[in-house]
Amino acid sequence: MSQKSIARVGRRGVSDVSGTLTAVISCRCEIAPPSLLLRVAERGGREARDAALRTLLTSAALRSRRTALGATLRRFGLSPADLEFLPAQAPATGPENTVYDVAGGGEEALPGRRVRGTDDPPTGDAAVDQAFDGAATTATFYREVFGRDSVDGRGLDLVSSVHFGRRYDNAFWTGDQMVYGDGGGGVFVPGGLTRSLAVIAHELTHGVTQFSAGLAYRGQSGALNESFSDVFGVLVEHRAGDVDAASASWLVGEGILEPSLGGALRNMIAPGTAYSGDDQPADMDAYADLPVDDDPRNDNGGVHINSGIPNRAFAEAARTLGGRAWETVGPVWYEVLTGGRLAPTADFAACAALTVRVAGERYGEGSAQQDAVRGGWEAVKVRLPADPR
Amino acid sequence: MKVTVVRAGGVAGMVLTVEVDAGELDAEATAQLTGLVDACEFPETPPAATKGRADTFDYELAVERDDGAVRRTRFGQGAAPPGADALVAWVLDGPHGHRHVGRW
Ligand SMILES: [Zn+2]
Repeated sequence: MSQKSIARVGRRGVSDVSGTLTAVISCRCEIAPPSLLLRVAERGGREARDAALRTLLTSAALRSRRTALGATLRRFGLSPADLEFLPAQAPATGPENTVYDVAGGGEEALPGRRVRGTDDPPTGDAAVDQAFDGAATTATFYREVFGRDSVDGRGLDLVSSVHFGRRYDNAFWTGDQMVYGDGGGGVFVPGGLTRSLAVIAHELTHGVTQFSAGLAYRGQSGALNESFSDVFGVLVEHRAGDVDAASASWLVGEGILEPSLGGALRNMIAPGTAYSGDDQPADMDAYADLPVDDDPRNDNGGVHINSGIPNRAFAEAARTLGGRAWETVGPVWYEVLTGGRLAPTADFAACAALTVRVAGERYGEGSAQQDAVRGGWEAVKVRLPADPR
Repeated sequence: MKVTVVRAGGVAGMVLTVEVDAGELDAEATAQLTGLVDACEFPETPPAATKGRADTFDYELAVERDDGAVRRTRFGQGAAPPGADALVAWVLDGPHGHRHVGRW
């Protein structure tokens, strides 16, 4: 099958396919639909075959098992690489969203016992339901604001595990899934990690970065990786609460630390003031030039420290423009992260230059938006290419 | 004997240092700590780390004997040398540690 024919069928959608096919597509069955679709594809005429194949390749059931697609693809003379051209899907239902309970277990026990699936009602376990809702809200944000289908842009299943470890004071992204501890170990209040939508969106955005710019998690590229997670973590929260950039707190993870430590994990507009011991620099004059080594204090060359600099550049630009940051500067940062022009080892200067260029492309050279982006980087003293004006 | 655990990274990016001084412990706790230290390996080269995963913890574990000899190992979450996880958990989660948040 040619790319063109798949694309053509894709634009037409499935409405003109047989009733059987439509019925199959509308259910979230796991195994039967692909085999049934295959039979439809094999028995039907060329159009039905195209439509069935298109549906097979993009159905939630199969998208979630892309690695197992090989045999199906070979039946049609295709290889997994032939999927790469498929446009990002934006199904009304969104990706599968599943939460597991790892019940105090560690890495070896992941993901744990499945406790809530996409269509299941709330469980009554706050961590389960918050992880579920946060993942859904984040996926909806990426789909509705940027037309992105899940973390990878191709409908990857959202998998979360809660109750990781014992009083584990952390949340992380494994490369495949989100993991949340219960907190209560002296840093986070019990239940704090799943209560914060910004934390959930921060972790999921690490997945977005992994599947787009792939920013190396060390030094300045690592600090950019961290910053993109903070930026979109906060934007998801802004949109959910209809927060205006001019009056936003720009706090990441507000109210989830033990109160004796401080009020938030990070302050994007005033880096270094979020908690006692927060040593984020607010501009390049205070840049922490830490080695990339195995000393945990050095944080892979300061990825969680120097992220304060690009964080503030974004917040300053967004605050200058006011309004909905996810609709003003957010799309510029999203294009920079996912548009294929930001190198995995990019430094602050390269990222800054690209944001200014993208703002010019999107809003016009010399536009208020481009000036705001330029002003954000100037505020944090990151050098920009000379303004041609 | 002093046992010090430094835990850094995580979504918060905080550096938590917890130190336990065996001289401040009762006999039972001292025996527990000594047992955990004796069962812990301190490889010069840490096991192949799971470095690069976002927001996981990184650790440094150091034991200073009363004669001043220090054994130290560093590792990423999920890549602890044998015995280190149990010792780290005892130090971090138990009631005996002096805690400090901050890089220095
Ligand atoms: Zn992070």
